[in-house]
Amino acid sequence: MVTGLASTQQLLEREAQAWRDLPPAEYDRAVCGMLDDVGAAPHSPERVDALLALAGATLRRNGPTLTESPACCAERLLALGSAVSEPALHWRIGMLFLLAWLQLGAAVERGPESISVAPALPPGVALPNGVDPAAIADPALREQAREDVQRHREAAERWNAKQRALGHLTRLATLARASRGAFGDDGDAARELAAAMSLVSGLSAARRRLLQDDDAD
Amino acid sequence: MGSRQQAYTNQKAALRPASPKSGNRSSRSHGVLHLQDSIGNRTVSRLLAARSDSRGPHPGSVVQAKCACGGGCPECEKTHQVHAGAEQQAGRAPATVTSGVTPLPMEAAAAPKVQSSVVPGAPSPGVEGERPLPSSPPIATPPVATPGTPCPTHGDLTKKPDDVICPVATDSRASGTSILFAHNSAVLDATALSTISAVAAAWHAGGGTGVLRVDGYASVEGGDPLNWRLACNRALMVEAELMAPSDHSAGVPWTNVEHFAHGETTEFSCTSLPPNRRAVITTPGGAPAPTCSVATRTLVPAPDGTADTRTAVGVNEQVEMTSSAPATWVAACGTVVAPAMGTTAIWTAPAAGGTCTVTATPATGGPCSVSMTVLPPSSRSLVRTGLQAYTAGLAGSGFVATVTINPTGVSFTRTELREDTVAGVATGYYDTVLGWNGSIHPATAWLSPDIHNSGLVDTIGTVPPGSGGPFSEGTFVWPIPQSFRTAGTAGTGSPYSTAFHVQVMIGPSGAEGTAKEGASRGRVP
Repeated sequence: MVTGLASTQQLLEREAQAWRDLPPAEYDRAVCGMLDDVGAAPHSPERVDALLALAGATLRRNGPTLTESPACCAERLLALGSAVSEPALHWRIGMLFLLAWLQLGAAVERGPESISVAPALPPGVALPNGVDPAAIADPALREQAREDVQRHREAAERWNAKQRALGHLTRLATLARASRGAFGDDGDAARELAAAMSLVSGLSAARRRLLQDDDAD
Repeated sequence: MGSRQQAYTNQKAALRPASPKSGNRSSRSHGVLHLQDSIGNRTVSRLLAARSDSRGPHPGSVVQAKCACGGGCPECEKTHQVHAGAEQQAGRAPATVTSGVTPLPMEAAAAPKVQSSVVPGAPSPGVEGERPLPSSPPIATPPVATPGTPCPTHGDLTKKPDDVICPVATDSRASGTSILFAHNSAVLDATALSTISAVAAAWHAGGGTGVLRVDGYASVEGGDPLNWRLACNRALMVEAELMAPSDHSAGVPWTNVEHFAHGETTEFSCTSLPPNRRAVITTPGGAPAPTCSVATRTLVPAPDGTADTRTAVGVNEQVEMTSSAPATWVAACGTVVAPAMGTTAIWTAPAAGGTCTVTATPATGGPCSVSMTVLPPSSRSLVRTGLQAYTAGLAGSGFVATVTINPTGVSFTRTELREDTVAGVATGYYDTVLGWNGSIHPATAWLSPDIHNSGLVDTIGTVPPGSGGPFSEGTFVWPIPQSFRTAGTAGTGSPYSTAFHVQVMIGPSGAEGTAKEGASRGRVP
């Protein structure tokens, strides 16, 4: 049992309940809070187990707009990797970090290339674009406009998730570079992990180079 | 090189130790004495006086008056008595202390000495203080302060030898970057050399301005005269190393370094001697001299191409910060994430505009910091990219535009923006024929811009296929409030500008113009 914290089993139950009961944004926040609690506890084998178990459970979720929980996991894994020395732990930390990285990459892939500030109104309404659909007199056109608003809301969530994921990838690339040794001392393994990370889409060329070139600035 | 600078360089050379190849390490600890032996006290005093002339006396110094005779004449004796008497009478620092600095409480001659009776015997002239205690009778650990004795205490000015060339400090600089010394030594060890080199590097990284001050101290065992010499030696050794670091890195010009002696002290510890064997480096404001420098690189490039080393960033923007030495990181605002005692940190700017200082504190020496300017969004710019298609005979001049968030010298990728609710104001055709007066523009979705502060598309104007007649003059305006907030948070955000959506019909022809935030279009039905 983690000192002053819930047991690993209790943490996993709380994570499962959050996934079941909360919308994606709140699930993200709940998981990050749990990771913060465990991360702040004194270093111990129990804490390591709890962090790895919670990260493993979180990263097996696959919501289309989940970005914060994978990013929180990745940050905690980097910190944990710098604090442990066992090769087996480094291997698992590396795999979980890559899983978080790929989830963020998937959020980038799912996002649109651009997004309208507001959905265009259906043709024939003789109103200015951007007006509240409630102003549309024709019931069919009004309903169509409301459906367009709903679709736009979903597209906006994917767009925002894409931008957040890109930001996380950029930051994690920097942190991963600064936390040399978080994935162990095996240079080949580190290079292979970096190569896998660089395959994710959306990273700037500069960040991609940073990942692959240990000696880059 | 001017003659004065050459003279000072010679002095520095005399102060520096012999190279390791020469094997004469002891020359370092006695450098000033050797210097004084070789060129004479009066010459050294003139050199230092010349430096003082070039910069003016330091406000915290007491420049000792020197008689033309070199000492010993009745005029000299008179001057000395006046000074000493004044200090004794006042029981505090001489009147020459500049206001704004903290006078030391015990530096006057009247201050009771703590240690003078502890070490028996006076050291021989020409030999440094903090002399080892005689072996018989043994005194294992000499008390620094005895019960009932005031602490801290400071050097007795009346016992400062005339051949001590350092000005006397009258204000405390105890909180600076400290260089510690061994007992009875002014030798700089490897840690000291590294710290001083880092201070010099940080001075250059900080722009190479400002005067670094070095204060030398000695612990209280040994006699006052010799501890004045030792304190001065320590200050001079640190100053010489600052001017020409042993690792051959860039030094601080002599015009930007000054030195002071405090004599013996218990300022750093009343119960232990070693902490008082030190020199302290401070900046003009009294802060510890930095021993590191911080480089910044934004994680996202600025859309306008401003270099990633920029120190102006958008709200919530993230910056990679790298210190020249492993450090702990603290941000006055925003948040900082860093591996423990690492050289790299990620700083996230706060959600509101302002100025924010991020500080890296190395394990030894003074901290270094960087000041970041945080900018909120100021406005949007629209660039027309397409036209709405209207039916002939119907009015309409709408268009599609890409939105860019300003200023483009910073990134807003970690910020969400939206258009807020507003009611339209319509006149003429737009009111009487179309009934748009009071039309509600609802709040839009919160959206983050991409790395170009853009990626957002706005469609403006009448919805196709257009509006019918009868046409007449009229206007329609939506003054749309624009707000921003931190990406991924809840709340209504903060307003930053107003976007005016304007449509104007100029008469019965139905000719219309539509404009918003720098983009526009005109069309005749």
